[in-house]
Amino acid sequence: MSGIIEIEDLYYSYRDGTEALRGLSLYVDENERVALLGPNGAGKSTLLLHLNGINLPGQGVVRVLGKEINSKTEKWVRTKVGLVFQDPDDQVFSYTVHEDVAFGPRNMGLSPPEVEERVEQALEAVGMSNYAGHPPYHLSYGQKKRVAIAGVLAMGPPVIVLDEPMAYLDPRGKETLLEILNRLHKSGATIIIATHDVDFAAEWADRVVIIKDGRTLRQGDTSLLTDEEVVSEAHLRFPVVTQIFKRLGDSNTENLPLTVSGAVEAIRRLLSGGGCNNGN
Amino acid sequence: MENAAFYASTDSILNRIDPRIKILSVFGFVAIISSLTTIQGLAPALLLMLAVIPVAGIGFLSIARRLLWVLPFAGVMVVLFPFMVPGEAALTLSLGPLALEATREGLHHAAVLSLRILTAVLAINILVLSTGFRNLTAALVQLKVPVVLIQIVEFTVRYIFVLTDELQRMRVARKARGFEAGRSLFSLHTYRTLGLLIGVLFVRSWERGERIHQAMLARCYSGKGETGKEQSLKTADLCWGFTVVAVAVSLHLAERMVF
Repeated sequence: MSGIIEIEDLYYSYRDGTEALRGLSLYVDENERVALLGPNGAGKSTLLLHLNGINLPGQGVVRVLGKEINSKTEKWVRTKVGLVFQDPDDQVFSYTVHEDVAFGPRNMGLSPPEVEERVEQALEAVGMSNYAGHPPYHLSYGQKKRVAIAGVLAMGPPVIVLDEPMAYLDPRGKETLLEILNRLHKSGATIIIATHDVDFAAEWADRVVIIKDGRTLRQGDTSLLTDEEVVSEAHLRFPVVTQIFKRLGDSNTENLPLTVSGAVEAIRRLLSGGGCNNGN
Repeated sequence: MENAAFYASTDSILNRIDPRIKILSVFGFVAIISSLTTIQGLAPALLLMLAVIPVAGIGFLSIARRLLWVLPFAGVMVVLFPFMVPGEAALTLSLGPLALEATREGLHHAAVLSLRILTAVLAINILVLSTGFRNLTAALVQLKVPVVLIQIVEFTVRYIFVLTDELQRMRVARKARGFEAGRSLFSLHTYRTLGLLIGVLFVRSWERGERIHQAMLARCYSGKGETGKEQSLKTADLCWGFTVVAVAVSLHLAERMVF
């Protein structure tokens, strides 16, 4: 097990004593796109707060870029793992968009010209350059989301973690977000997303980590999402594409497509003679 | 939107003066003015403020609106004062069995109090409107005001609209389930519901505060306020500051010696 993030046997309890994480282990490789799935209350959001040292392990080890996360490394890890929270109103609090995006780089102690550069680049990357002087409360939800992401990008972390980024976004907003994520991936970033959106995970992720009851249920590539056992235990559902093919009763229960392009390919194969023969 | 108006500042010659000097001199001015005891001393101060308003590029209407906030506090005091200070009766109000006596001394006190409050409030509003919220808070940090206090104010301002939005949403949701506030002044149901809602809002605000703090930590926040560049004090600004305080001091001396 090696990678940019390694978690071994992590235990964590809330202040009131409830055990949130019970021996959770996972790993993430560099430049991977990982989707964290699991039912509500499985501990996803709590886990994400471990990735940047806001929660420190009760027991077990969390390693980022080879370094163990503890009270001595927690400040360092926040420059390496950027966390975008679920509610942009919790994250975007400054007077103007520009001020808010500059918050992170300034805290890192960068020089004013460097801060300027980072802010410009980050706003450019999320398509909000025209709003630099605007106050955040005037923006739509999707725009606030993008400003929150810019605020994290401006710190230049190699790992970017997003908590339910697609929630409440309209289809256009989701598309824009996806474009941003793809560009980040191409530039070498490692991206981890906690989500409920099984179809999105199927289309986008390189690997999937399924969490239940504070533990990793399974982790592996996206074909896990077609596994009946896993899906029912984790209270998930099959991606829509997979549901269609399951209903069609295709005898080939392995290699069920889970993405739209996979489905299109499968249908083309079937139509070109891999299935019924039509009166030849 | 109200929030935007709060942060905005006018553009005038007053804007270019160093905010730290402005803060210190205006506070000095207000402190000295508040010690004046004659109408003849206070009137010039008030007139001066009124004259500065157009110079600062502030609309009379907007500042008048801000004065309305003072009315509940100051207005009540001013109205009650004439009846509370003992002395020579000037006019008497009889309300049934009660006979309230307004004294000359009381009326004088009320007038002095009103002038002091008006001048002070105008001065501070001019300060705030001609400086801008951001510059003001940055200057306060530079003047060594505890950062925690300033941040409490900043965050309250930022989130007061988020909170009122939440309150509004909760109100609409209640209405949708048939709740009518104020059906009767003594309705236990009303009080209980409203109490619960305020309680819930408090809990939600507390939790939001936690999340905001976590989001700030996630961006390497270390607890220190951002001060920006500390500019050196310009002589022209210092002269301006001294003049402001000097005006107040001369009024004070004039009172002592002349009035």
